[in-house]
Amino acid sequence: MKMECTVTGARLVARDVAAMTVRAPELAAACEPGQFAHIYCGGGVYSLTRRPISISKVEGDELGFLFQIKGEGTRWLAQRRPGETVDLMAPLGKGCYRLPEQGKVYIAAGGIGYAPVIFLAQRAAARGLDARMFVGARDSGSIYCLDEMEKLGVPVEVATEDGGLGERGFVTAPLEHAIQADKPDLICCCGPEPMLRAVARLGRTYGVPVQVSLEQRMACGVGACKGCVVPVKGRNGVHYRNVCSDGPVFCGEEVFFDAE
Amino acid sequence: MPNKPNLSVNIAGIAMKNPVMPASGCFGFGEEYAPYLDLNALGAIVVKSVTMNETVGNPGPRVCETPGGMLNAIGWQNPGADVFINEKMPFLRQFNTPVIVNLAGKTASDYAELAARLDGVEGLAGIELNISCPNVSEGGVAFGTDPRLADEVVRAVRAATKLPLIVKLSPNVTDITVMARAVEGAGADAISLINTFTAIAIDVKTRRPVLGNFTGGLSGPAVKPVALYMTYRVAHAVSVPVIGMGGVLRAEDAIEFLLAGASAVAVGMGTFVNPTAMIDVIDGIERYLVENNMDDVHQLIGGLITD
Repeated sequence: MKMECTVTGARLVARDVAAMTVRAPELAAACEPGQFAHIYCGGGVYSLTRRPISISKVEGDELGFLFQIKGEGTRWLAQRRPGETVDLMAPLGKGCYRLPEQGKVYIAAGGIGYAPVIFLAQRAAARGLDARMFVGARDSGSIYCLDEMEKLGVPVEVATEDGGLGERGFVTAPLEHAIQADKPDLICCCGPEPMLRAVARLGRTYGVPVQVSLEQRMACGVGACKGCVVPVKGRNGVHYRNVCSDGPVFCGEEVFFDAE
Repeated sequence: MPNKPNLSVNIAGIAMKNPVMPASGCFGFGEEYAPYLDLNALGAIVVKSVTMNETVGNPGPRVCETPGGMLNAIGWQNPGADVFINEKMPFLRQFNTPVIVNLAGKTASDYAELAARLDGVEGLAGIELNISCPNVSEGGVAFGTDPRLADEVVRAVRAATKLPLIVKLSPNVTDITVMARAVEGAGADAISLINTFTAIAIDVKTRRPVLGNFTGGLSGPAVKPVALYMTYRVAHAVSVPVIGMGGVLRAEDAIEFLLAGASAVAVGMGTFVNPTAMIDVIDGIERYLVENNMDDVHQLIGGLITD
């Protein structure tokens, strides 16, 4: 659906990461982890089309978004203040994270990829799953909202490339150690493509299913324009599926079939 | 309280409630946007390009935003004529809105065979011939830039179908009226314009092209003044009706195209910005007519005052 939602909160949570909450009771009841909203960002010369922003949490009748301020559109959005409205199409995406009924789930996030998996961790905790979070970032200034995991009682391990917080290096290292020590039933992942590939490879190596959330340049958001495609391997060879309507969450094996 | 003005138009024998329709490729097969607007409210539904067999399309990224517009290089991704007829048409037939299929191919005989396959499909009101796609290397674009080839493909399709035939022109030519006269002479019942401008975008971080296809087609408000001028020139060069498009976001944009001589307008990128843009355009045209004491949209068409 398309609706005007009232902003209830807006603040910066890291150098270039904004948090925003909006009141949207119908959406809060309907959305699933991995889904996103296609948000109108002012309609300026450099921000005419909507921006796909993942839903980062649901609390009561409010939806939360965390997004990186990358350009004119996201800057405009970050400047909305409580009481103003934002125009969004949501919930979009048919491919969501699919959690098991029980068992152990490792969630790995890189950079702004942490945003959608907060919602996922909420659901995992609510379902009583044994969930652990692994968060990677460039430096400590790009780590944010870890208190969300504390509230949920989900243990977090952090890795930063400069070693400013947690382990030095990529988050795939602590993730791999954890898999070796205690193999999970599922790994869910969101982050930059090299990280998704690396996690998909870990899944293959250790025989653990992996679900990844993808990002792609997007126009319509509803599956009409075939703009945001990702190649997938099917029975009849490679074909394209929409990140917006078939994803954004896919099985790692499906989208990283050409991994080394 | 004045009477509601008449918005209905007839394009190439296709009766439309109003002169507003989606631009092909920007509205899928209608079903994707059905949750957002009433398909019965539209003048027509123009669906995505259909080829005889399934087309997988171009590698990504296929779209990117550019100042005041966007580039796309989809590459005709579609499930093929049989899936369109058997799986997409039953949904579209539920609505009291004419369905126009955009038809694409690589050779004149591809186009003619596909037109023959679609002739007589229940609920199909017309064909829009895509001879102007800049994103497919063979066929499409050559037919749209060479008047002799355009004549050949339009004649072949004309002979293969009784359906109303709209030919969509490319702006990537020196003189678009030459192409317009060629397709009119070959039997087009109407002309739509413009398709997108061949263009590129470069990622300065990677110093590589943004699009997987290297080139794409530019559309959106950035092209509107050019689209408007081309619509004006074509509308004054041919006697068949013209469907104008290129950067229509709101009613004022559409009214400009009507004043320039278009008998109908299509909304492309505008739907991505606002999924109900076409409804807003229809309502805005009606309001404009009322405010200007006009009772029929035909009073607007070609109503540009130049003295």
